[in-house]
Amino acid sequence: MSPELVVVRRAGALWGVPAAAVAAIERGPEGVTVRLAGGRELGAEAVVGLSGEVSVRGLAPPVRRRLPPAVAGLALWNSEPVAVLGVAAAPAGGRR
Amino acid sequence: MSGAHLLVRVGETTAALPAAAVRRVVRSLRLHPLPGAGEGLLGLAEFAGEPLAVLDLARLMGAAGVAGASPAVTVVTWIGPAGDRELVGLAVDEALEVAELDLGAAAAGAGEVLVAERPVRLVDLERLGEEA
Repeated sequence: MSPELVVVRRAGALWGVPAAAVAAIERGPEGVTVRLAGGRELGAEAVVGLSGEVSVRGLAPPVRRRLPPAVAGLALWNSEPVAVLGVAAAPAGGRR
Repeated sequence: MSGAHLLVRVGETTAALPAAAVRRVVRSLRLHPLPGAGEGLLGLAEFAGEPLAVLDLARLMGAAGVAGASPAVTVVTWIGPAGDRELVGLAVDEALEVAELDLGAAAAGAGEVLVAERPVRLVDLERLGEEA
């Protein structure tokens, strides 16, 4: 899996949303809202970048069990780890 | 039957990791905590150009936790069942030595062997963290 990612900072960590699933990004008074195809949305403090195609690593079972269920894999962007969201399970709304 | 193991200290416990699964032992990985992560997942890090989830070995073993937010030592190792293995970091207090362990004795001793008269818990990397 080598998607392009919209990388956002949310609750102090980096999260990646597959760019192909992003319908719109809106700036508001408390940050940004990433609207996904299908109607879901993700709140974040800021969009920090758009990655090129990145390699997404799978999750070992004990890691998968301890991550928020929306996380589908891990990637690296600008030398920082990114939690990559599975679009179908992206968390709705909120900034935490 | 014997096998080389890396002995590590986690709190008051000495644990043995199969040496063949260990890729590297590193100090001071910069950790990025992930909000919403469950107990035992200390955070994410960068290792050799790859993302790495770092787990608290003490917590996964049910032993006393590693002191401080950042582990002193991270053992980068393969874990998980065959066919579903991934590289992770295991946070420990100290890497001690590599020792040949008598695995037959470990089976008889419920996963514990004596090394220089101290008890050592054998870590099953295929099943680590399954129970929690």
